[in-house]
Amino acid sequence: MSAARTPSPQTVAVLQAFLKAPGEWRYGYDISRETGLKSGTLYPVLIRLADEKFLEATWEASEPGKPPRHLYRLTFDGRQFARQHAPRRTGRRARYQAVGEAKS
Amino acid sequence: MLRELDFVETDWEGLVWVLGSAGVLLRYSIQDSVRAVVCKGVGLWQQQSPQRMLGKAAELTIGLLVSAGVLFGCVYGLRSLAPLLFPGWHLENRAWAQCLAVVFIPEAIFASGAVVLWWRRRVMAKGILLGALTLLTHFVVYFTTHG
Repeated sequence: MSAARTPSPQTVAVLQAFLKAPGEWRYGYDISRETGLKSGTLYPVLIRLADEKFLEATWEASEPGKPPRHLYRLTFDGRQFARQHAPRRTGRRARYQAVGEAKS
Repeated sequence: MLRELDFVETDWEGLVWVLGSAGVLLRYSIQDSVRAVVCKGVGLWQQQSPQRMLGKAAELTIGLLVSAGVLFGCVYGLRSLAPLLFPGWHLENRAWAQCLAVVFIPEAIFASGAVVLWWRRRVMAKGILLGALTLLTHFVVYFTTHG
């Protein structure tokens, strides 16, 4: 997904979810709950965004014996890309619209 | 990915999450394995984009098809044109003419084509050489088993 290619509705929904708190690290499951996207759809989007350097990932240390959790955050280029292709929506109605568009 | 399972609320959602995650892991592991095998096979760097890899795979296929076409042309030439051009010679029934038409002439064409294309279309040249190698292998196996 280059900067010239229009992102899919699912990618737009993910970008909008990240834009709500652009500097914050987010868990994949939180993004899934917010966008309504299942893991099979969400993670390819996250991987593509990370490959394009729009998203950065890190591991969160967890309890001993449990694997660490992955955290994601928009990069500077990612924020610019998100603002260009996924204008931030506010309010409950906007969130439902984003989820509905992502599901359709 | 699967670590998120600890935070999924219901069993059904957990099952859907696991199945989706397993699908993603399988898809990307297959994609990476195929890319590694194809890249190694045609001497490509693994960092090539999928579009470029598809282009190279298409070039390799064209090379193979060209070699198949040349072989078909040589066999067709022997079966159809030789009786017209040399009617009394019955070349289509002579073993040396068959070897010439089916093996030596095509192999010579493959080798020259590969040399000509090597510097401009290397992957296509490799496809032609692959066809040549297949024909040569078939020739060797045939003559060792049939005498």
